[in-house]
Amino acid sequence: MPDKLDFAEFYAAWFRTLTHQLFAHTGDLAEAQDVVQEAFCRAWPRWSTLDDPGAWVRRVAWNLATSRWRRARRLLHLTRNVREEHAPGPGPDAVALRAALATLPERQRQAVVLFYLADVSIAEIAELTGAAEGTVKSWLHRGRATLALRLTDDDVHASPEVRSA
Amino acid sequence: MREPPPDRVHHAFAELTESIDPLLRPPGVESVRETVRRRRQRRVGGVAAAAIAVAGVITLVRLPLMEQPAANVAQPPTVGGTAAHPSVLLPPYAPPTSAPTGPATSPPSTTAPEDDAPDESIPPTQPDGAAIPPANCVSEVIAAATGSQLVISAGPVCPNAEIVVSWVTYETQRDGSQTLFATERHTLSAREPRVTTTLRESSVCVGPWYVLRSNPSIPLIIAAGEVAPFPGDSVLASEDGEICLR
Repeated sequence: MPDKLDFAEFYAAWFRTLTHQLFAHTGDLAEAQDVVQEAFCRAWPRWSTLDDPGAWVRRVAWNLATSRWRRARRLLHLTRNVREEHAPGPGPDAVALRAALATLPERQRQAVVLFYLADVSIAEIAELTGAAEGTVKSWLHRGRATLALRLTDDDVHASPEVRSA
Repeated sequence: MREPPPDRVHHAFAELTESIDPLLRPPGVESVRETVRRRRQRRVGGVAAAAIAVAGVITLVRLPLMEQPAANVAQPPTVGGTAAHPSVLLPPYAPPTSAPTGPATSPPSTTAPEDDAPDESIPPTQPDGAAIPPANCVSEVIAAATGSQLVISAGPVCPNAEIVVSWVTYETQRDGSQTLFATERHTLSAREPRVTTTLRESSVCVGPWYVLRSNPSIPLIIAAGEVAPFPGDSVLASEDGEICLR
């Protein structure tokens, strides 16, 4: 059985940061907390065998989020209902960021979130996503450009090349 | 393509995380432990219920045979007969006059043979003088996993029977198909009715796994949407996985 104290410390150290990442990715705080908690539930019985529990839980949480997102998308497609938003009331930049992130393609968004929120290197993102490093760089570049459209008013109004990117 | 000022992006991310921090309610480690414990109990309960259901079905199937006049088997098994193959012992039209008067004289050898029962004849007594095992011996097998630790046990294992069990793990791909990751086979017997082993799982994903009985063929790839990759009666336990981003 895993060591309780170590697991508790690990949980305390990782829960918030992982939830931040998944919230930035999914835009749904309840969903983010749910998948992170589920990832910890998957880690607990395996605790003694995990070499890098942080990376493992992060990966599982992202996998869960992706799986659920696909299921939710299929459900949305079937029911054509609008998904309820859980807006936590952030500031203007955060609102703009959420809106910008929501427009990014899934893998682009994942790369941006991992890069900015998880401090994951390009090489690690490539390993995590199974993409080439060049592809990850491209995702990051495009992702930043999209963020520019939303976060930098000057760019939005004065840069047609960015708008068309 | 123009890039946003890095400070602005970092600031936006920082603001985003700060804005949700007050709303975060980590369920806590105790909740993790409770969830895992509850799932384990549910899984064990599910397996037990399945075993009971299987036993019930077997009993129902055998009921007509049990109602045959037991005189057919009142005599000790002959050398050519076998408790595991009562059809050999059981004449199709046995004289009712030789029917036993009580259940004690009605050994359960009137029941149908069990898949796991031995092919060869079983002597009336074991070499060590132990009682003859019930001829309707049914080996029930259960499997329970705790994380990647897997325990498969059978009880009772019919004499001379060998029960082949195996586990198999997969990785779920983005398209929903499952790719074989690892598999391992074990044989349970009266001498070794229980095996404790470790599910070899992908180091990067929580993939689906299955514990199987009766040695069904194991596909390298399970197509997306395939809901019954193995014969239903061969699956002792299973768990879904999640899509592997790799």
